[in-house]
Amino acid sequence: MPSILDRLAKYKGPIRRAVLSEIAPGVIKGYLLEFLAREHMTVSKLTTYVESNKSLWSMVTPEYQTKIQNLAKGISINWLTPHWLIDSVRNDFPSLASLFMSDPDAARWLQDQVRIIREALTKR
Amino acid sequence: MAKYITRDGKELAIPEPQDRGKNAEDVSPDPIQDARKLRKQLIADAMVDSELAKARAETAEAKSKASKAEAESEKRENPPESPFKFTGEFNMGKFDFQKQLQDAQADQKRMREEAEQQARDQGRMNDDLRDRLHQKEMDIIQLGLQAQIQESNKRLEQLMQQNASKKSFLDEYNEALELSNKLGLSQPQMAGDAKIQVELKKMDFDHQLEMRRFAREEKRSDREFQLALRRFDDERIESKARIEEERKRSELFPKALESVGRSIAAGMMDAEVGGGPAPQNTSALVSKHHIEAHPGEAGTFNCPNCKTEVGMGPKSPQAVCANCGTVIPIKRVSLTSEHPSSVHRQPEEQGEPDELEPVYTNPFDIDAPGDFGEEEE
Repeated sequence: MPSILDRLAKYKGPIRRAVLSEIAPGVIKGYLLEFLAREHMTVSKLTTYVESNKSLWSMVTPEYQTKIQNLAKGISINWLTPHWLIDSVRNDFPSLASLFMSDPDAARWLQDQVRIIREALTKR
Repeated sequence: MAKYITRDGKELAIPEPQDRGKNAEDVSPDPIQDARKLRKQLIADAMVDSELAKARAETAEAKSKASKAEAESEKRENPPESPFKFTGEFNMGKFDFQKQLQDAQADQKRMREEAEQQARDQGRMNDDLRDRLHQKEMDIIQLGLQAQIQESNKRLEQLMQQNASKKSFLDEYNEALELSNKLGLSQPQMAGDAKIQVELKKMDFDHQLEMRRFAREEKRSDREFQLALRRFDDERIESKARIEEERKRSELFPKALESVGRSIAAGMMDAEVGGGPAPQNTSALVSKHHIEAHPGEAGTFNCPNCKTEVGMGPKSPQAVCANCGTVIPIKRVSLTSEHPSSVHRQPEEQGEPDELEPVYTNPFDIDAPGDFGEEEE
């Protein structure tokens, strides 16, 4: 049975772009929250990620990297910003959100991760 | 004057009529004699005519014989040619194979139609025969059933006649009582009481039967009523759910279209402007509390304002609550306590309500999406 990403990748044209632009933030937000929950992410663990400058995009499996790239083809990802990420995790992981809002190193690391992910998604 | 030649070759002179009249008038005036003469003359004329006819027939016969003889003589002189000599030509005519093929096809078609017609006729005949057979079978079955019914009725009547002679238990009992009374074997009062008691028992039994039947009917009607109520309730719930679902669907569809349209418009406007909305400064409140922690220590604590969990980095000069935006200063000190991350109220502020000062802060520099250098197509 094809996954939701495979199904969404089948749609074509401007309607596809509009629909995916509408639902993509929700999908990515859900993916991010599920990822943080499964990783049992805490402030201490995230601090180690920041200090070692670990890449979030590299933690996604290559198969899902390809799927996400196919899904993001041709749609706008202007919404993918550090602010959007902080706002996404604000309710479920408030300590992580506050860390990004207060710690300069964490904020810089988050900005780098967003840049890396955007580069990966806009790569042709 | 005409002449007549007899068979013997004698010539007889035949007088002319006027000459005969003239001679008669001249010769003798006797009419009887004249009549005799005229009769004789007429007879003579008839004889002459017959002789003339005979002569003519003989002449014709002679002529035919002469012609035959002449033909025979010619035949002898010029014998006929051999009968085995054939002359002339034979015309085979024109052979049109296409026409012959068309004729053959037409014949084939006609024959096929005839065969189909025959098959249809046969089918109709079969159906007719089958219907007739079915009808006959039904008649036979009906007759058999009627005979069985009549036989059963006869047997039933016989049984009823046989049973008619039998009496019911009560009648037999009453007769036995009467007989015993007559014989003096029982007391009449006791017999009457027993009869009444039997009647009462019977009535009681009938009453119980009726009550049971009534209770059964009541239970059944009650059960049916409950079932109907449940069914109506299910239908009501189902229709309500259906209406709710339709309402949700009808609401969802315009909302989906609206969100899609909004997304299209946002995408177009973003493409024109070249980036998303710029980050805004967040309104924050600076708490009068502060956190004392080891240098390089990271962890969490609860917000003094809203009790939400707040994260603190190893180099964070302050912590910001993600829920209420409260800014909590952090003091890096060497503490001996095992729980360094705790909220400490300042001594001069103890006993007073927590007053917060509004400030506007952007704790880190985050550029707009357009600053990443990628433009969406």
